[in-house]
Amino acid sequence: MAVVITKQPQRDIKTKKSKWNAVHQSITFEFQRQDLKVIKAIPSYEDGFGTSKPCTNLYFQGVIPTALKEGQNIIYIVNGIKYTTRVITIESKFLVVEKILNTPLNGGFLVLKESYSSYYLEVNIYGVDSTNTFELIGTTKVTDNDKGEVKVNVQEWLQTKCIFKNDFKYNVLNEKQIGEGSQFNITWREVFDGKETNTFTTLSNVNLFYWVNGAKQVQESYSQNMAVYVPTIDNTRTEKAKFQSVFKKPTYFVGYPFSLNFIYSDNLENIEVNRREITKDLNGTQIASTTDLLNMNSRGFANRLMLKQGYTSNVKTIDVWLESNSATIWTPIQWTEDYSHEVFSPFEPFSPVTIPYFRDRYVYE
Amino acid sequence: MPNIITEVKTIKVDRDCVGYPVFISWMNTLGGREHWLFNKVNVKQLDTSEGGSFKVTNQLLENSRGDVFELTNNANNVIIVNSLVDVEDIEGLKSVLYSPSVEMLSNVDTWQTEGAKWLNVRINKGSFKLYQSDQVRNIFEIQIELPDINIQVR
Repeated sequence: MAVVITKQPQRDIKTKKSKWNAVHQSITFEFQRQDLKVIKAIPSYEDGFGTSKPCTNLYFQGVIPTALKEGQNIIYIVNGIKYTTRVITIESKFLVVEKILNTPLNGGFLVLKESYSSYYLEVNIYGVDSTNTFELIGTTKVTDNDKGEVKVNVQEWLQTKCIFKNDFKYNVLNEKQIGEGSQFNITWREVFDGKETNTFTTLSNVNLFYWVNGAKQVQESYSQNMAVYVPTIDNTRTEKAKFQSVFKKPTYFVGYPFSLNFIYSDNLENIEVNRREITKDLNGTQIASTTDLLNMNSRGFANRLMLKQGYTSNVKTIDVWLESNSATIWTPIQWTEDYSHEVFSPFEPFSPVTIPYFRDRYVYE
Repeated sequence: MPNIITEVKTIKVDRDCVGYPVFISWMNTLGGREHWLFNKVNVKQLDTSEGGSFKVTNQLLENSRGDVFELTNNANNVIIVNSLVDVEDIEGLKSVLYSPSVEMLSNVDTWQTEGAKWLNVRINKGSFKLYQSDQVRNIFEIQIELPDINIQVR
């Protein structure tokens, strides 16, 4: 038994990634059951000599599960195509199944729905609290579809961590707001035959995902992903990350609170970031240019950014943006527990390998 | 050389004095907080509604004080605020009309020394004419419902 992640809630921004998602829409992980990996599928005949009923030989990798029996219906998935067939006989290195192919194919895997009953994936959803500690928000159990795919939407658990009240003190250059956007991760295990004996995968504090207390609109680019607002270090990116303001030109009322929201993304983990301000007068002529270093402890969260303030009376507009500074070292947030291993192994498509030549049952049509 | 990693956002600086300042902060759909200084129109409104009543029967009429009594009432103050704004600002300001979190600065004069105190308020719902496209500046007016007045319940 094995299950692999086939899709994570992330999108590409050119060569970088955005793992930041609007929490008021679905945030979905997709898994694929791979109960037995297939090395090669070869058309054959039941007697192996071309004189009997055509069949297909499925050469498998590893050990045949004891739960797999002759006569069971199985699903063979290769190159995204699903073949449903039935096991005729089980040999030591291959299965003889009812004919599904006319030409040989490499790779793929089997989903053995009749071998394992009451299958589901149990998923733990972890958020991060105000003390930078993982907290278990909830657990969900999701069954697979007819292709052995499991789709897990974690949005409704993360949504409970949103804080709508304005807690920012308006007294620092930038500060994380954990109720406006924070981190999360998941662990999972397979459960079948009514036995909850498998252990959960290990919780990672490195390969994290992120949510933002926002909602994207119909037909917006990147769907539920906040990529448009996620900064990356990339000189070739023409559409730079936006601040989370719906005003084309926000107004700073002197003497009153003011802040801009931005995503202090994980893409900036190894670089210092400056706020740059250029103040201008009524004619658009530059008055001053200043840079100030952001507090890096707020990396990986939704942030508020303040203006420098204290401007002279001739300042009418301020151009503000973030820019990279010197390289720095990212120290992963220290959790109170030791979660030191990666959760997500990248999904590696199965590489076909050369199989030994078996004289019997190896006949092409 | 530094890399620019965000858009260049132009911020307008407003130093105008407002007669009756009402400062509002709200959450937009992007998960960001917006801020705007309104001017309170000199109209104060009180919205009330019935909180239920009960009827008394089988009483001695000559000593009766009546037969319908109110359980309680609902009431809240409403203030009307407005702002003369550029048309481009209304595109941002309109997000206050459907924000799930609108807060009013309740210590306008002292927030810098004692920290900002916010009051959760609601914006009256309805249909709004936002602006006339042939005008450069428009009045943007909203009605803000303040928290309910606490009233005894029988």
